[in-house]
This record gives sequence, structure tokens and C-alpha cells, in this order.
Amino acid sequence: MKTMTNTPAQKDAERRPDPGTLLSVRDLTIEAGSKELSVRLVDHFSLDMAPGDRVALVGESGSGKSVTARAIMRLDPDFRLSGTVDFEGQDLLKLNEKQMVAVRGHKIGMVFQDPMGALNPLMTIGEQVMEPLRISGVSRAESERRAKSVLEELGVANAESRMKAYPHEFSGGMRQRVVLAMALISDPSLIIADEPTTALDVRVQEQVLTLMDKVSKERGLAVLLITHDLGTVAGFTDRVAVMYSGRKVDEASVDALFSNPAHPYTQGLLQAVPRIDQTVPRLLTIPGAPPHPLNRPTGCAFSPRCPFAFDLCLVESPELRPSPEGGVVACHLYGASGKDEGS
Amino acid sequence: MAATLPVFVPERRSWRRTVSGLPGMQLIVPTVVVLLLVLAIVGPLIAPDALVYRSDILSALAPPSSTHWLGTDEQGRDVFWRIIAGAQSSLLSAVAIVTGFSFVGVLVATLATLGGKWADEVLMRVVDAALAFPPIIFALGVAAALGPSLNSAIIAMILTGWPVTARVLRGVMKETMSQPFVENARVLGVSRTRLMLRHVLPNSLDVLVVKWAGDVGNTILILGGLSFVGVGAQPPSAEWGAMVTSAKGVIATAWWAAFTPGIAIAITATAFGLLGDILQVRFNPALRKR
Repeated sequence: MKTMTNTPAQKDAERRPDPGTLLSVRDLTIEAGSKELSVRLVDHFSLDMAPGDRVALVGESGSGKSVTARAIMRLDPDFRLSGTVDFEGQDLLKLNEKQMVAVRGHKIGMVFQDPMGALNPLMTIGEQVMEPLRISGVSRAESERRAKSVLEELGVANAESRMKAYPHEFSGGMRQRVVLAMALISDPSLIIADEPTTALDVRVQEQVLTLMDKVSKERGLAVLLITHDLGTVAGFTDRVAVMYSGRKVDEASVDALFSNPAHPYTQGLLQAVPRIDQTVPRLLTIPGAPPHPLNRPTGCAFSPRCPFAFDLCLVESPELRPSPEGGVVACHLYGASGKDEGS
Repeated sequence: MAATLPVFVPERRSWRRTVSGLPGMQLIVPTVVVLLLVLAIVGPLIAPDALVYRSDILSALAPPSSTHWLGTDEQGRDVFWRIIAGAQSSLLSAVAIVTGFSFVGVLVATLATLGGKWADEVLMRVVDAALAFPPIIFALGVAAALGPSLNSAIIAMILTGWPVTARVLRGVMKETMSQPFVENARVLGVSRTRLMLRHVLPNSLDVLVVKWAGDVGNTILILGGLSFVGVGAQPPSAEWGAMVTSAKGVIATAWWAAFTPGIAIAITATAFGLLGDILQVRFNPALRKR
């Protein structure tokens, strides 16, 4: 696959992020596969986060949201990454593996979906929570003290004795608290949470989210929440970025996005959420499925499923433009040449 | 569905796990293993040399009696005392061999898992090549190079035993690598080496413990085979496998000469096999509590 050059977005890359920015992802492009058969999983993805910001990255399975999060942490050495990921003034994509190990867990924490499997069955809870501190040379006594305090902060009762327990003695919600404690113990400034509540039942989901909300507010922690659950988004974040087929297609504040979604895909997603106060003959869906990354349509990737698609959409992929709601949107309906009928 | 029916999931366990889980086994098995090891150390010291080594053709193939508790072999040597004296060369060499090649196998598997695609590919091709050597033939070659002795049999068996362990362990380690907790440790900034030593290796070793214990029994038998073709323990030294193989020709007339050292091998192999299972349960906190 031949890559295009000199898009307006690339000129964007030369701009330095302003100093108040914690994380600034610019034109992150992720490719997998061999040089001959390259799959572009994520295409010129950009996102800014200020300290304490809470941003959700939503999209269907395969939209590239998890891959993006993992690329920020540089977890998949086989993928080819381009663009820049500025974090606290450092381009993470330029660091070597050794420098990256110092960033992972210490400056950026990450929480995964499956709390049942996320803990080493042969190590005690305490050992695992302390591990990030122990590897950076903090003394055992000090690590124990901090592990105890972070577990208590996360609502683990009898933290001191529970630290001697093994993971199988903990419930799913408790394990997720432990995983969170592991991510928080080194006092990172950003947490990437990749579907942290998907594997939990609804009541425990609620508890964990409330806890994350409380902890991130108290610590001034920035959270990048990867999810496909719009309910989680509404309750937890300030800003939402919507991904579709490897691109960011919509970004707005939570209020704007839920009350007045700009992109037709976002509109479709919101309509597809069943509401308890409405009776519908059948659940609304977006017809069709996202395209395979090897077989994206020309023009806008969403055009085959879009009820508003017109001739331009089939030819030209839309750039991100300011949306009427104050965010950005990649849709020809909001372009100079398009008619505004999206909202 | 109107009513929910209780679901019974039949518990499936291996017979070894069942046996090792019997009350008392936690005590009996380690005791037997310790006794065997003690025997292996002191056996040659307490066995009277005259009964172990000196041929007495006149009393050859005598059935068990009060003078010869387990009878005599075709050379007229006392089978009971030969078993006691042979514990050392059989058991200690088997333990040494299995420990030796397990160590090499784990090392190779660790390097293959840690070293990335190329190291993995190269090491696994080396394993393929090493697997192609039949142990007996290879041992004959080593014996030709180093002279026939128990030591050359031990070296030969270490050199031919490690590839299987390496292959098995590499598979288990790759699987462990893909466990979520390994990824989780990675995002916490755990370096590759530490990841391997603290997370991947401990969670892969339960397989090794079982394999190690099972291999001890096997190895005693193969050592016997090597002695039989003249590569392993040299006559007149006592060695269980060699005793079985040399007496199997007379099994129809003097069953004790082959059968009793066979029983010794069987007891040892079973004890070590069960020990493997007990250790596996011991190492796994989730199994331990049940």
C-alpha cells in the first residue's frame, strides 16, 4: 500500500504542543504486516490531553482504539508507528525500550479489561502492588507502606492482611481494585484504562467507576478511557473522541456529543443505545459493518453505511474540521462544499 | 425456562492427582523419596562387598531364602544386597541426568522465549537437530569417545534428554507470555528479564516439576538399557537397570533376579511421579487451598 504525503495534518505535526499539555498525540499512524502487505490500523490520529483531563476513546471493535492506546505505551513492537506522541515534553516514539520501561507504570499507568487474568497467580497481592516501586529501587518497608495506603485509598479493607493473600482469594471487583492500585502506586500523571469495566458485572462496574472518578479527581490524574460503552462515557469523562475504521471522526465535549452529535456515525451510535424511558418496536442499529482495514472504500470509510452520504463522500476522505458544537468532525456535511443537514 | 436445574459438573482428575491427594500421601511419598535418596547415598557403604560383587557359581539362581532374601542372580550374587548397593548408581545418576537436562532445557526455552524471533527460530532448529539423535546410538558414540563408563552414559543422556524439555517448556512459556498478567506486569514497567524470572518462569515450572519427576523413572530404565549394551555401568558394578536386563533371559526359571530390581525401579518411578504431583499442588496457591 502506497502512503500519501503532504496532507494538511502533517503540517500540523510541526506545531509544538502548548506547555499546558500532558499528552499530545500527533498524526499517529500504525501499520502492521509486512512491507509488501501493509495494513493501516490507525491513520493520522491526533489527540491532546491536559493534566487532569478525562477523555474517552470510543468506537466499535476493530476501530483502532485499543491499538492506539497500546501504541502510546509502545506495547506492540511488531507494529510500525509514525507521527509523534509527546508526553511531558518527550516524544515516546523516539525512546528506546529501556527508556520506555521507565515510562510504563511510572509515568503512565495502564489498566486492562480482564481483572481475573491480570494478576500473577503465584505472587501475593502485596508483592504485585509493590512491584513497580521495588523495581525502581524503593525500599521494602517504604513500598509496603505505600502499597497499603494505595489499597486503602481504593477501598480494600484490611489492606495489610489482604496483601498477604493470593489473587484467587479475591473477587473480580476486588481484583480490579488491585490492578488499579498497581497502576497508581508510582503516582503516574496519566492512566490509560482499556475497557476497565467490561468484564465486570454491572453493580461492580458502577463501584469501580465511582472509585476511578474519586481517585482521579483527588489526584488530578488524567484518564484516557477506552470503551465501547457509552453509558460509562457519559458518567465519567469530559471529552469524547470517536474512532471509526482507524480514524478519529468526531471529537466533542461529553455534553455536546450526547445532546447534539455531529458525525452521522456518532448519531447512529447514540441511537443504538436502548433507553429505558422509550418503547421501540425494535432496537435501532447502524446497518452494515465497519470495513476491513485492507479493504476500505474510497472516500469516507463510513459512506457505505451513512444515511446522508452524497457524491463527494464516495470520492474524497473528509479532513477534520471544526464542528458546530465546538469540537472537530471529519464529515463532508460540515465542509465548505457540503450542505449542513447533519444535525 | 421455568425452573433452573442444578448443574453437576463431574470432577475429573488424573489418577496420579487422585492418589497423591489421598490422606497420608502428602507424608508417605516424600518419606519414601527421602528414604530412597538416603539409600542411594549409604547403600554402597552398608552392602557387604563379598555378597554384591563376588561370583559364587555354585549358588547361582538360588530362590529367595533366609540366607539370600531375594535370591541370587546368574553369577550367584545376592540380589537384595545388589539392589541396596545399586541404588546409588541407578537413582543418583538418574536424578543427576534429569536435573542436568532439565536445567539445560529450561535455559534454552528461556533464551528462546526471551530472545525474540531469531533466537527462537535458531534455538528450535538446534532442538530439532538434537532430537534427531537416538539416545542409545548417541550414547554409543559418547562411549566410544570417552570410554564406556557410567559417566559417559550420564553425559550422553543429558545431551540427548534436554531437547524434549526445551521444546515442552518453550511451548508452556509462550503460552504463559500471552497471559494477561504478563502484559499487565509489562505495562507496569517490569523489564524483560525480570518479567521472565518473576512472572513467566514460575508460572511455567509446574509442568517442569511433573516432567522432571516422571523422567526419573524413565531414565533409570534407559540407563539399564545402556548398561545392557555395555555403555553404562560396567560389570560387576550393581545397577538396577543393568540387573533387570542381564537377568531377563532367565526370568522363566529365576524370576526374582529380574523382577525384584524391577520392583525397585517401579517403586522409585512411582514415588517420584507422585512427588511431582504433590509439589505441583504445593507450588500453586489456588490448588493448595482446596
